[in-house]
Amino acid sequence: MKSKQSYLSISSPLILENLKRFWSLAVLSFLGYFVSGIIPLFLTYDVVEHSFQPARYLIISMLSNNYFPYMALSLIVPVIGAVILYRFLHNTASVTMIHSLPLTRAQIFNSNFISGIVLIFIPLILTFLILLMMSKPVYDNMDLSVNLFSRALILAWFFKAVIINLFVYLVSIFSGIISGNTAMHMFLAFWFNFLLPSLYGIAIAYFNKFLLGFDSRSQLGDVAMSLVPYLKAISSQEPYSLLLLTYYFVLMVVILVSSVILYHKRKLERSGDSLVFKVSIIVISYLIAFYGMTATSFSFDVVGAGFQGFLKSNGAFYLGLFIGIFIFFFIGRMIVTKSTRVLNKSGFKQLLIYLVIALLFVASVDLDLTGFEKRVPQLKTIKQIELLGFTSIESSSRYDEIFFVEGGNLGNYNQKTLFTEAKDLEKLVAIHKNMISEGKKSNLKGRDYRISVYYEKNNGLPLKRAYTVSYEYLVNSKEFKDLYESKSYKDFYSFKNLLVKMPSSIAFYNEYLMDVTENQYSYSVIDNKDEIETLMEALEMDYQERTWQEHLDNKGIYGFIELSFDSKELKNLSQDNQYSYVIREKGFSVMNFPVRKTDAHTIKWMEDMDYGETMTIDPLDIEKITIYNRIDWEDGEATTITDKEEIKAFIDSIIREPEDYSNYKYGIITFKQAAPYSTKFYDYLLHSRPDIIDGASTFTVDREIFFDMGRS
Amino acid sequence: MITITNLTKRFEDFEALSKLDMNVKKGSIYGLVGTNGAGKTTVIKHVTGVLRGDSGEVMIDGEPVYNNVSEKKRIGYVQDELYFLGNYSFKEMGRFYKNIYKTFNEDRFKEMVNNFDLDLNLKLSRFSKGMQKQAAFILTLCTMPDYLILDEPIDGLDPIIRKLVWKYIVKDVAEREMTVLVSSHNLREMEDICDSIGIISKGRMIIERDLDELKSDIHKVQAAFKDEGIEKEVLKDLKVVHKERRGSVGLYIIRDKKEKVEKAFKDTNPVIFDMLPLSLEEIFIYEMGGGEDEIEAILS
Repeated sequence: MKSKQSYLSISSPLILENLKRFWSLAVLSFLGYFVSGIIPLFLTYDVVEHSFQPARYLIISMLSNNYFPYMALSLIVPVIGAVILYRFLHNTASVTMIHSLPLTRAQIFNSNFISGIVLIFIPLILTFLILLMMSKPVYDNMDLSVNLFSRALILAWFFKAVIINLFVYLVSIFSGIISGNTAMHMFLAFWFNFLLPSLYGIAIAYFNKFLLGFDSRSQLGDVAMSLVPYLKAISSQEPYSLLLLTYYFVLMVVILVSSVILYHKRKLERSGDSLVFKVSIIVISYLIAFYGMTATSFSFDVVGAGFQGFLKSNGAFYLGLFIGIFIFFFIGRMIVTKSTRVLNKSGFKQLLIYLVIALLFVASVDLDLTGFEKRVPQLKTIKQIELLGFTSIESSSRYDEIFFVEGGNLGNYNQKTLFTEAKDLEKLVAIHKNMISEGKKSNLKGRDYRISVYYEKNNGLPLKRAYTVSYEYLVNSKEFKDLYESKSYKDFYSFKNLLVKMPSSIAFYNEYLMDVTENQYSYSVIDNKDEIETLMEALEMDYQERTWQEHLDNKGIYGFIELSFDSKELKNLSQDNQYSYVIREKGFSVMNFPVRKTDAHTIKWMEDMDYGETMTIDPLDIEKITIYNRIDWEDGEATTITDKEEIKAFIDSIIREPEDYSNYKYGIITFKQAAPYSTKFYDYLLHSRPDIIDGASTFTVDREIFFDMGRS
Repeated sequence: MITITNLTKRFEDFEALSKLDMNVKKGSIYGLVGTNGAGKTTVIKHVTGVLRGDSGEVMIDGEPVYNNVSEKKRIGYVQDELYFLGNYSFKEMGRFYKNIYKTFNEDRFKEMVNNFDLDLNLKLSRFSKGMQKQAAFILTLCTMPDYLILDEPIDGLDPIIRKLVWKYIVKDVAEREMTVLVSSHNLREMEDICDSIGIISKGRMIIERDLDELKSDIHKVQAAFKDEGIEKEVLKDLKVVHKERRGSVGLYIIRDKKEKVEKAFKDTNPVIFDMLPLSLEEIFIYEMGGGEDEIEAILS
């Protein structure tokens, strides 16, 4: 009990003295909050609820912890607070004076800690109270049910700000305890606040480089940002989850307890050194070397990619690694020992130890000592598999699961498909194994695709992998073909499975034809119920009959379809989809996808209903096509085609995006004057306004059109 | 009473204190002397509870000092390298001491500030080095400490102020039985003020004794005998630590009781006999293993 009391005891005189000495920090901090946030709000207070957008933006960014001045204050004030309060540790005279006073170390630490809390949080609390007083209904333009300036949002902001400030302050105190001078304290305080995410990011970079199948694009980025509350607040407007809050709380307790223990163990005679603990000297110099070797090795790797042989095949990476280790290890030693005399026996001994650790780390990743690359779960252990990127090849929202699954992955364009049927799981495991052996060939040419496989096993553990595969591989993959053409897959993305059974309107357009006067594509919209139903039937039939090869074939696009769903119908759905409804209101309520020339039912419907003109370019309207070599299209030789049959062949061979640029040609289409396209012409990324508007005979456009030379 | 037992302190590979023992009697003034780097300040920082020894004990009245608030309250410490809270005036610093030390004597503070003629409202950073030292003395003495620890206290003070400082210290020792531990290079001043002396070298206590006893045990003797053979007979039972001859006169440094030395020489009816006490400075130089030149200077 006695020791418990002494660990928690404080010195009121010391706290009061600290507050008297450093009150200006709190005042400046409050002025920062007031001048950058409160005053602009005051100035626009009367008009903020009347659609005054800058004020709304200010409120939104402030309360979502994304407002730059506030976030800068949340970082700088706690760091400065810790630095000035614990500065006495970094000078022989002050450390002697303070520790000779009739105070225990616990009292000194606790009193300074509490002084900082008061200095940091009083301005924050005052700002919070002022914002509470100012709060009034300010509704979101996009959704009138959302009050942007509610007391709940202000409270949520305050809660987040408290966690951020406290975390930064604790990390800064820890930095002060292990450092021996103020410069090192300041440096470590800023660095350590981002240490975990940066180390995590570096580890991801190594894994991504060496481990086939490593999925750096899944949730890893989010995980890195979540490691510290400051970055999490910047990267996401969502409130911290309970899990995250628990993690932050535990982390803060660990940092605080470590700081207290280290302060009690701190040897005061080492004040003035860079670092006061032997182990911190080693760790910091190793960390500096680690950052340095990573920077040099990856830089060399980029340069080495332009060479052949040894340098291309990781030789440059390892060369950079060794150079980086040698240079940055000794730079690190110089920093931590405050001396340039580091090339000595002790320095080389430490270098050798670091070298072994660094090589063990890099080699273990490079040689995949953990068997990461070959790991494929056994079929009987798998509960379900998600396949991502599988259907996003055609760059559309046709396979976006939000249209098919309640509470689907909102706004995630990297569409995923969930498989739970045993026969599908078997196919997917085969695909996974196939991609592993394909990936090892490292022979990607032309366009490539990122396919991710996420397993959820029966024991609840996940396994996530991602592979980059070639177009050629995908086209020829029997497993992918089987999967796409399987009944379960077709059923899942069938229009019969839509959450909102029927679109309220359907638009179709050709992205190569644009009406400049209206600034929109050649466009037709139908809202007649019968027409919609018959077109949906045609689309469904084409989807059901479409083969894997037809799905992948991006040549010969007939046009594009856009299904608009009436979001009111979604209101009857579950809570999850109420949320998705809000999202869709902001632009996600439309599904668009291409109509292929193999989609016979849809094309027949269009032509039967006289909508064909909207979708197709008539070769008779074209005066000429000029074809350039892709590589030297500006200066290279150009071939001009005027023959109608040849023009038709070229039009048919237009592709959306080449699979391999070396096999395709770039061209420019010149339309005739007064053709039916007088207001519909080829316009995408125009250099200048088409001459046709001014009555000139021809015009050109700067749109990269690629023709499949194999077909023409 | 301050008791240090077997205290060892290492700074990395350097052993600053090595199994050091020290005893400061209650109500005494103890002078801690030693060469530069001998470990005086390190000893003092242990006594004031700033540093913790690697091994050994530092006790005041039987209680450990480190992290012991009740003992540290009784200690007043004027450090060699002074530190005052940033931008504080003398008055503000006095208020800080008053808040920290419940024993702070405000009347004495006013009186001492008046006697030392210092400006209370001036920032301490504006004070000269000597004035800062005076301010530190005043602040510390006003806490009415039972133990006053002074590290190189009179550096930078003029003789008048030095006298004033010592007057206050001696008064507190006499009236309140305050115990003083003082380290200094000014051995003549230490000789005047101290009751006991501890000489440390390379982190070890070489000699620790009452000053009078220390001085009464070592003597410089000049003597000449009628017969050269007598010298050997005289010196055979004495602890002669150095001797040399200048013509017929022998010069000796002898560590022994005064009476015994006197008797040994006088019994042989020497032609010349002159016995002088060594000053503290001379003893220090001799004990510290001074070179031939220093010894020569002591003997001349």
